[in-house]
Amino acid sequence: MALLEVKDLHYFYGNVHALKGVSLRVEQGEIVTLIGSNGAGKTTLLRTVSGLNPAKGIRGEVLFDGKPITGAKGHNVTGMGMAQVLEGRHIFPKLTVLENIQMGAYLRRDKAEIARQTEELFELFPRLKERERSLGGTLSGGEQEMLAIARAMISNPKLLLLDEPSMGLAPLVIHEIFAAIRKLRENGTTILLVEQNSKAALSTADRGYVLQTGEIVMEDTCENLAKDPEVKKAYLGG
Amino acid sequence: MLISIIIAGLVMGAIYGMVGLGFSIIFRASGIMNLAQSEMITLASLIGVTLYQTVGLSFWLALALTMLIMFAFGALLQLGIISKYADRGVAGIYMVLVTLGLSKMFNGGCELIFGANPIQFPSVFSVSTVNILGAFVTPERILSFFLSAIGMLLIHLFLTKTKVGIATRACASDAVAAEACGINVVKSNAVVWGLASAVAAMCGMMLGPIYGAAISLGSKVGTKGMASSVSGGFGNIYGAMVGGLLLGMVESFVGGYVNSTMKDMVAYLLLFLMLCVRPTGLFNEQSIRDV
Repeated sequence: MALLEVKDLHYFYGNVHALKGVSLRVEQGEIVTLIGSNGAGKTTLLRTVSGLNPAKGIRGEVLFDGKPITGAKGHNVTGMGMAQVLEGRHIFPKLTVLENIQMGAYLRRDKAEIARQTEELFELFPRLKERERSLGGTLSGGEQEMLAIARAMISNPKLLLLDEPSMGLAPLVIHEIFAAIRKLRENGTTILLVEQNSKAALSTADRGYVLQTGEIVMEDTCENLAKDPEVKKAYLGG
Repeated sequence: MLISIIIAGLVMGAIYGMVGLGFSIIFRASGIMNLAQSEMITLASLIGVTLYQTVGLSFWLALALTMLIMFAFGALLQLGIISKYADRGVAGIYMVLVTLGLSKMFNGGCELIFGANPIQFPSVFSVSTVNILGAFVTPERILSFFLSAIGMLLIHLFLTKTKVGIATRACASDAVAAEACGINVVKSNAVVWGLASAVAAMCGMMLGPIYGAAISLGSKVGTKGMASSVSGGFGNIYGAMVGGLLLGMVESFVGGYVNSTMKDMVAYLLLFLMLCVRPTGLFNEQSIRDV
């Protein structure tokens, strides 16, 4: 049984048909990537799966851990074990780094364990530890991305949705973020990664889907996708 | 004379600050200028005086119970009405109209239930006045000052030290991200509306002994509270308190040294001046940490 299974999912923003029958699955322990150009519907797909888009535009089915979650509210989906790093990071600028992480652990009651895991995340992102009392808004873009990942991870998710973690970051920082993503997988987190930086995504993930104007047009292992002439031409710059 | 003017200014200022606080915490959480907040004070003072005088509870019990009732009322108002409009994407300016309508309905409802005549609010203490440095002050006014200070402190602690309080700030700054964190944004907003209504309850119970409980109470102090919160920096809770104290002082000095009929105009004069000189208020969101 796949951890996440999306079956023939459609999404409508009013009259705009943004997702046109998307089917995909993510198995336990995998990193699956979804690549595609701007406006292909990648963020819409993630937000529809995680319950952040209004439920009335949804047709189709989403199964998480075998249970149907189609149209469930975002906070309930998070409670079931699906965390999301939003596109553009969306950290709370007026809250400190620690308070941001505390909000990620909102549904948890085990304080001691939260503190222990926070320290673990600080080992993964030492720069956050240095700035734990700073306001989120004063962090650099890379640090904000790290904070967004830490905030999602502290909820102990079975599945982590990552939306454009490389957006607007310098190559060196992107490298750092993707190294952290690989580390998260080593520790057993299943990840669905949405990226415009297809090169970084395909070298990190196991399998990939190519999304084009709301439809999946290709599906394969990342190795094969990276070799595919179409993918090379459209997403890897020749 | 000077001492009693300062004391009167501090007392009314602290109360205006609390009234303003009610406007501010809702505005910063939901971006709505809640015009029904004034009538929450009216309603609270009438419920309070009923519990205190008619039912015969002690003042403290009546205060606690009124705050509890008003908290539930405010939370249900958000869950049952305000959030429904917000779900449909009703724009901010129309939301203000909704709250204006609610305020008129609350006021009419209060008149239906409690009657149009002011109800004498019995004094809380057996002593009628206390001598502070030669100025004679009613103990109820002193109580109001300290209740305001304690209320302010408790709200500060709630917003900065408790998980639920920090979550209300998270929802205020980014509802989508808060939802993704697992926070139920609608419930969190209900807590904020409940809190603002409990603050209104406190104001009603403090103003009762000063003005009497009457259906005109809310309109008498509501706009002054709004002026306080705007001049302090709308949406900033500390700003509301400072704005309230400033207004209370100016009012008291104008009433004492210039002309007592001019007193009520001062609030609006201060508001106009502040909007002209410093449109963001004394403490805008950027200048100090936003709570």
